[in-house]
Amino acid sequence: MKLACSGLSCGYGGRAVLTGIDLAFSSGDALCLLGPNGAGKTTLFRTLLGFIPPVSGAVALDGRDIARLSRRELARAIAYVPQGHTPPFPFQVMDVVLMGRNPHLGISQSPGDVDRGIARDAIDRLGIGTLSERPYTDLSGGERQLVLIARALAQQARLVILDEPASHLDLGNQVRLLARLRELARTGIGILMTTHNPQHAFLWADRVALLAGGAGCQVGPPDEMLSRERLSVAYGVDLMVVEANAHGERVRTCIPLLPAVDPDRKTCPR
Amino acid sequence: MNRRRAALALALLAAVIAALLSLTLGRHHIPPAQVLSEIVAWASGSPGSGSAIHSILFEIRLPRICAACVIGASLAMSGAAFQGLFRNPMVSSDMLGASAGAGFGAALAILLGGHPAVVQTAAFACGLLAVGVASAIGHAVARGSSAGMIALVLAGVLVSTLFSAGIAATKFCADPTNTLPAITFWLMGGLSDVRGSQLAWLLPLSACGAIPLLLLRHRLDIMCFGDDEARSLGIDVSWMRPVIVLCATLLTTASVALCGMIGFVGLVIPHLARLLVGARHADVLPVSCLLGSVFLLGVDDVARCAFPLEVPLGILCSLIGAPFFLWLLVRGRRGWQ
Repeated sequence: MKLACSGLSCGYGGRAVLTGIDLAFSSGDALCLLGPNGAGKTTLFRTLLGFIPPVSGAVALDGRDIARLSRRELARAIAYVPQGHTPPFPFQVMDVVLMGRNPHLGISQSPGDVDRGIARDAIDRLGIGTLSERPYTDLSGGERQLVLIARALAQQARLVILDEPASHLDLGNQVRLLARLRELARTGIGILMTTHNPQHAFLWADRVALLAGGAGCQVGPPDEMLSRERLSVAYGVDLMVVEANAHGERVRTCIPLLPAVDPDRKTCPR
Repeated sequence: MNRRRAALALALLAAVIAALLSLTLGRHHIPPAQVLSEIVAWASGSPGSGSAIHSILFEIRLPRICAACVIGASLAMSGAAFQGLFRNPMVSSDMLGASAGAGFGAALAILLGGHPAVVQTAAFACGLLAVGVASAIGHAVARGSSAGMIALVLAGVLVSTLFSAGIAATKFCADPTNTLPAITFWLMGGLSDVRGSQLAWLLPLSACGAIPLLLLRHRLDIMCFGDDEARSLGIDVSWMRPVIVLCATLLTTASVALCGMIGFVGLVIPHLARLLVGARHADVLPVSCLLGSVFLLGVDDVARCAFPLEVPLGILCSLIGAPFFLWLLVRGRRGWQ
């Protein structure tokens, strides 16, 4: 299964925020959509999900324009994991995961035993079985994110789009979440994750789509996209890309550099 | 699961007991045993004992009790649906202007000297009109952006204010010796004029609102997570939202057109239901209905019996509802955190 667009322009109310986007991702991909705040990540993935119509061009799922697909058809192919949020009512974790079965049910049909089994499997795959009876609203940010991913699994979509899944998590939870997502990609699910943190792209991505003001969207392997030049331009700060050897494996990361302090100035810069 | 079933069964039991008890209460006390024997006699087709008691029971009390049940259930259910749809526990059943619209329609019809049936029809039509206008404004302002819900809420506030001004203007124009008290009395709400014929149109309208909502109970759960997530879970929000608004509005408007402006049921009862059975609409909707019936039956009994003169239902609902809501607030915020 493949979601693709070429020459896509997206934005709100007919005004394009991004133009000339060429992007494709398929089952098994681990694609990171990286860019600074305000680069248009949200606009792009909301267009890919069909939440807003493209300004020009089209998004195609296996060659079919998604604007022509019903919500149900689309939901069976693509799942969406929003940023961890708080709904106003205390649904149980199991109920939230069961909502993933909706695109497989008739309009007034209730989830049955089969759906319950699928939801339970999804919960077990993410190792959150102990949470299933708890109110979703009582969970921590990291736990909520896992529940929403379980819901995406229960949806049995081949493609999953995640919006900043790690942005509100502490370091340990970020890494654990990225590890889970990598495992899922290895099982043949295509994962597109947006992030404003280059570390996540270094750690996790097979391919990186870099959104930087004006330059449109550049897609390529991490080594090529996550270079000092490109990242410095994208984020507008000086930084270094360094390599280390971790247990025989090459890992890369970037270190942002603060502007040099002028030794003659005694007071704090305003 | 068992807790939910138990709560549903208890609520059902409470509603049945409240209805039977209400039949015994009134200016003329009828002992429970006699009520039961009258019901048995009625069910078996025989004419029953005394004609006076028979007509009090079946022509006055039974329609009124049925109306209280249906209206309590309708207001509570539409409140629960609106709270879910707007993802806001502070929303109530008349949030899009249904009550203000209905009040204006009724006031205008009374001012023009309409027959009670005309007053009801005008109230119903203006209630629907108010919600229609609010929805249209909300739709036009939002134009597909993600602010759709907020636009709709604000449009509801706006339309409510407009129609309230309309009510005030109608009162200002009314004759202080006859039409003004009639308008004021209608607005305070009450069930004293309910007869069987009015139930005949309340029941189908309420059913038209309630049945689709019950069928869509699982979709309503998903709507609580916002438009984007609902879309990504396969729901076409652009028609699901109007359908839910229409059903909830039918429930509210049909009720308000019959009994006047009764507040608080649609705000308080869904909270109580969530406290008992959790957030799932599959549980919240039926339990809200039953508890709404029990609540309005109880309040109407107080309105009928507690004082030498019948007290308007709307006043009592707020008088009893507000401290009750305070108790819920203090008791714990589990219902909507």
